[in-house]
Amino acid sequence: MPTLEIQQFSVSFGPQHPSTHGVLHLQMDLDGEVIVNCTPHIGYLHRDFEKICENRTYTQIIPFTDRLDYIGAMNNNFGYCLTVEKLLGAVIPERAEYIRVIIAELNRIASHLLAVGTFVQDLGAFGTPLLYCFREREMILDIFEMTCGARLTYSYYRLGGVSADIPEGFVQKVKDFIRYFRPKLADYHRLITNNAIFLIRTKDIGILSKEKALNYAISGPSLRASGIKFDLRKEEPYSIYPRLEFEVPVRNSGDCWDRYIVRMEEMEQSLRIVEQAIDKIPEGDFIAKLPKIIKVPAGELYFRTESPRGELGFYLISDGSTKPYRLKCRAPSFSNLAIISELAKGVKIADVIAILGSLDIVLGEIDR
Amino acid sequence: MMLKISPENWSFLIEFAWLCAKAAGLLGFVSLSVMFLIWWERKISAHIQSRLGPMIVGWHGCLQTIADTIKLLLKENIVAKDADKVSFWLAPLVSFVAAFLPFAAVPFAKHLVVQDFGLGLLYVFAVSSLGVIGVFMAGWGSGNKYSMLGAMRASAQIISYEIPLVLSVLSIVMLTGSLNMAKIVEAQGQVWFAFSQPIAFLIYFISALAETNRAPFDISEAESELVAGFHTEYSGMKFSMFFLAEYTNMFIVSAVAATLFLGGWQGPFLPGIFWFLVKVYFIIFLMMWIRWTFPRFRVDQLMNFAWKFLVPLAFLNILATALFLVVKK
Amino acid sequence: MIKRIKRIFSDSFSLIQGLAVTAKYLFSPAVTLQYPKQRWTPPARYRGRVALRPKKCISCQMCARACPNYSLEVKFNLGEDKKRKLSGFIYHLDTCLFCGLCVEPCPTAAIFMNQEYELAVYERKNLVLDLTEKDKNVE
Repeated sequence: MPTLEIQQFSVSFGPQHPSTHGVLHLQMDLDGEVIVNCTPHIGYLHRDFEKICENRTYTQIIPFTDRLDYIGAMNNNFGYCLTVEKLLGAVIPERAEYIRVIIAELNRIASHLLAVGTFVQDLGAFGTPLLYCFREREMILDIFEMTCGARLTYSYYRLGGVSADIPEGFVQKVKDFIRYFRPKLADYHRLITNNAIFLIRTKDIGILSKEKALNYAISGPSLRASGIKFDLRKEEPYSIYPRLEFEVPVRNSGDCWDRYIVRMEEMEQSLRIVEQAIDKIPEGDFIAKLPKIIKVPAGELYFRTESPRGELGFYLISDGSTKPYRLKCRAPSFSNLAIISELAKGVKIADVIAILGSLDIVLGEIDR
Repeated sequence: MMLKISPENWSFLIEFAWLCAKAAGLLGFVSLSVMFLIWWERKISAHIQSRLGPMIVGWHGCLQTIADTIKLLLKENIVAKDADKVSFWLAPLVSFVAAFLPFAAVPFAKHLVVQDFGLGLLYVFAVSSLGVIGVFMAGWGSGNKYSMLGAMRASAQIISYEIPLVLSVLSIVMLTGSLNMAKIVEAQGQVWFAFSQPIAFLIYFISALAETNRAPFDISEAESELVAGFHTEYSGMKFSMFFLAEYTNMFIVSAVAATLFLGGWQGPFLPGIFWFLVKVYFIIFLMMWIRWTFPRFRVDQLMNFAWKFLVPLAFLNILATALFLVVKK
Repeated sequence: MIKRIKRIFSDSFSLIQGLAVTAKYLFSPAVTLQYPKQRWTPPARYRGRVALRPKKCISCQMCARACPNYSLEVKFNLGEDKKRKLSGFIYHLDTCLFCGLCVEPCPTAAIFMNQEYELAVYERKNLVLDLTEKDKNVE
């Protein structure tokens, strides 16, 4: 008599799927509804960023850095420009520094809005929080369009400063946005944060312990949600961050709810930073006077900044010419994604989607 | 050769024809309602999300459903190779029919009912349970293992939530002593059952949401899940049958809720049918409002909620009602 | 037991709070712009696509050298006075990054980015434009 066998069956989640944030392919072995193994397969969005950069001048690389983490593009520009400027030894005028930080923090808010919106969308709140988040994001994108002319791939920063001064009406628009956005954050808290159904779906799901987070080199809000207070803007400050007052939100449980709430609190803190900086923009140049053809002296440097997703690092080896010898980009989502195979063991399918959404990855920077 | 039709046969034939006419009228009315409901859902979801919804076809898009139906009719009929043809073809029909049958016992106004059953309520619940067969046939007939999984989850959900649904209504039956829908409406002359039996109303409403696979219980239709549900393989007219069946289901559970808990056709000044429709659409509006606000439950949480929370609560409610009746006597 | 009942109440309250937020937006005006009937006017600095003022161009080819994706080709003839005269300006819309790096090095402000955003075409060959043609340089 044939015996009854229980087989695991293997399922491909993606690369085309409404819930993976980009073209990510998760190969899962399922035992009923429970996951036994989960392996991410990446590379579907590989566009050869690092090799292209070896054949472009330093200024020409800036539009390519936009396309890494296309949701927080200004922060990529920022990180790259800071790396090259450090090696150049350039001095950035005050006005440019202030503008850079204000724009980068506004982009952080926009990026977190998208992360939160898509996270709640994946849990099944069919689009309502997502569309509210996008409505707020539109206001930020309007500010960016007014400043540099683009809404997603900005290329606003240049080596030595920014490409154009802030237009008239910029300060007023940013202040209007701050006044408009604060009550909206309260709305989100009322709609999502304590919602009973949301809590059941995210509390105690995907718990990331401190040791695991450190071993896997997790960074950004996912790290801070696991109890480790580490923010590069406070630990290794760059630009004018030492002069600005803001807090670093930390939570202790490391589950999906904590990651979500850390992002919400970071939005509040970024709003504080923008509020402080917008009043203090000094007069002056918006770009330093650098030679037309920029030759970076030979040397190597690894410089890291805090992007909305974590530690964004650029490792630059220069041989003294107008083009870099090697530029490597350390993408935060790449390391953050690695934890999914650990966290997904033993959970149900719906929870994997919640965990993936809470880790907030962007395939553009994973695959480069 | 002349067919001898005796007077009894004549009256039977006339009654039968009259019944068919009423049923056809009901079918037409409910279909129109459902088309209106689809448009209404899109508009409400749009305004909740600060956007506009359909605006181009007809005034503010009111003819959009017709445009969509025409498009679905023109689509190619794709049937998977491994599909079980008979199941595949019959499933949407079974769902559709099972959704329409309960309307025969629902009183739309004081004397506007297709057939005034003595066992109206029992008929409604019995017949609407046939919808599960449609779901299961769809899952099996698709020949797709993910559709099968989705169908099994959906069937488990529907069957589980029928228990609290019927239990909550049992206390109403105890209070009125009859299963006849018209008598239940008349028994609410003083105070509606929604106020005198609020827990029953709540349990009924939540179970109704789960029965019709609406959010937050729509795990079987979720797009962000691995399986896209039992109607993955359906396209064109067959899909639109499932779609219409879902909205018809919503209509019937709201109609039953309006009859049992909100006083049916009772209301001042205006004719009964107007008040009935207002109450039905109010409940449907509540369902839509809830759908576009909350995330969805996970499958095991859904089942937990039904068996460990709703069923005991429904039993407690029945106990309380029974005690109340004993004390009253 | 008491904790459970308290939890039920706080859960229901949170759900009702969420419904209140949605209801608020249900009765607020929508923010949709009904394109194509209503159009968005881009701000002054909007980066639509590259356009040229051919009379100002001195064919120095600085823009072509600045482009990160080699999307511009500047062709010139040498006139009798050994000055360069622009004869063709090929712009590859299909590889353009819309970054605006070509605008900065131009010494005569001949090249600029205009406000056109409806750039979709039906055939790929229509994406290669010659900007010395009369009708290509919409502001």
